Amino acid sequence: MALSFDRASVDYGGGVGVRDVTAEIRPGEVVALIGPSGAGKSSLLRMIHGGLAPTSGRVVVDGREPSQLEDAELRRLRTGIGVVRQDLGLVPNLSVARNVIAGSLGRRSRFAAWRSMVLPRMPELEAVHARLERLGIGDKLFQRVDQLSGGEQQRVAIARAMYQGPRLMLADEPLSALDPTRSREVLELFVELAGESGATLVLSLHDVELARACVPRLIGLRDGRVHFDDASERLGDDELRSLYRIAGAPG
Amino acid sequence: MNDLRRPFPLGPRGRLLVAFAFAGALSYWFLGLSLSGLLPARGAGDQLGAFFGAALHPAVDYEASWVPEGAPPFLSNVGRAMLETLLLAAAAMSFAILLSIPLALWTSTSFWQRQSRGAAGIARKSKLGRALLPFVRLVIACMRSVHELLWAVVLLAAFGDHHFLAVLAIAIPFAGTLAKVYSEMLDEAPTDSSEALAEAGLAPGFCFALGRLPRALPDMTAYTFYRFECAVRSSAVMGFFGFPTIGYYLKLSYENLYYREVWTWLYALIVLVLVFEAWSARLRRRWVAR
Repeated sequence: MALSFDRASVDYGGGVGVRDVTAEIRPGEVVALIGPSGAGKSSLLRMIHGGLAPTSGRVVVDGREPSQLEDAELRRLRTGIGVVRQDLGLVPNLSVARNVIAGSLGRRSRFAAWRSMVLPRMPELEAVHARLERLGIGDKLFQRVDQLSGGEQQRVAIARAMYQGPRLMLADEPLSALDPTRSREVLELFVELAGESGATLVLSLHDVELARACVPRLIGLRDGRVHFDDASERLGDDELRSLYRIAGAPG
Repeated sequence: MNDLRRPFPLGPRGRLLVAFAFAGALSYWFLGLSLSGLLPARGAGDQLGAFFGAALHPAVDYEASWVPEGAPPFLSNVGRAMLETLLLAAAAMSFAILLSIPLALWTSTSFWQRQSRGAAGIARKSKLGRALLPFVRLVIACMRSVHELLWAVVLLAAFGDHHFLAVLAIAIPFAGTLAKVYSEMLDEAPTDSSEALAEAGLAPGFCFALGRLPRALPDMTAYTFYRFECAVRSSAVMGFFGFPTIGYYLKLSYENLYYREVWTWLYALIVLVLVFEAWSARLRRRWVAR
């Protein structure tokens, strides 16, 4: 799924949102948004799935502007976008299987959707199980989500997004709750899964070094503006460091 | 510029507390309350002693000097009344829960949200929802504002003495309360999971049923158990209108000044509530808090 930002801005009134962001992301590309807190990473991600409308400029996803779509059209667009939220957004007192299946119901008819939730069929469960196996939590299929560890829950959220069969994956700070070794593992997993399915992947990250090591293209954001946008091997240390430099402080 | 000065003389919270204290003092004075009213009148001390003395010796048999032939043993009456009390409460609660579910859904704002866009708070309500919501809220307020004892009076006056009326008298106000609290729990449930489902392209009805409802369900279950306990007490009191629950026998014993029997009935009610409480706590541990 292709994405483009054309002078997109978000004005929160007072604080800085997003200012004049222009960028193109090709289908199948893997991109990390990096920058300090409040730089506009989450706002950019939310504009892609239509959770936030640009106050000026355009955001085009797969040839359509999410903010201009009718409700039903927006839902259709969203069924092709897998989102892994920072808070995961899982239902803690439902089983892993039901959580994963729930994410894919947007494509089904009303009746088929209810049937899948109440009595999931065998091929469906097998497909979910295969996804979970791929993520290393196949044995948790029928466990309640609130009985899993934080890392396992995150994998459930990834499995839910993948089970949608998305052509675009979005992940907002997916590593924020993980220790450094785990972080690298999960980030590599994201990149790998996107590569396997050919989906475009856009994630927001805090950790610049990790992003540079694992993600081919980095977009640095600062105060809502694009600070740099380049292939990670071409980015120098100085450029990366300047992203976090406090305004007015001696460089 | 932010005003950093301390509000003088009191902030809004402080003013509210002072207002409550003042209202309390005013009502105390207005009703002519005095703690000396609690002291027994002259000569009533004996009766007081007899009543509380009986607490240590609750009756295990009839206190009356003459009991008609073939009357069931006293304790079997106690057991039967406890069972009747529990059954009436269970009937009323099942009726109240059935009645409250549609009302709760219709009065919760989140149920009527029909837009996938935007944060949960600012999503638009459907037209039908906007039309129906105030009306259903009014109905619920009417059901709640009349106490179950008053409902019993009204229903008895209208339809005469029938077991189902006692069930209805409890079920109506309880359904109103359940509906109000359920709808608030639904509206205040965490929104992250329903938002996540909306972001995956699910229709608002599914986001509500799969994302929001399960989040509110543990609290709703716990509250339902608490209301069941309230229903047990109300069902006991329904005996005052002649339904054969604990209250019926309590009233008879009290009118005959059989204080030891009165205590037996009070203890029976306490035991009933405690046993129910223990049972429901066990169920909740198993279902809700994992």
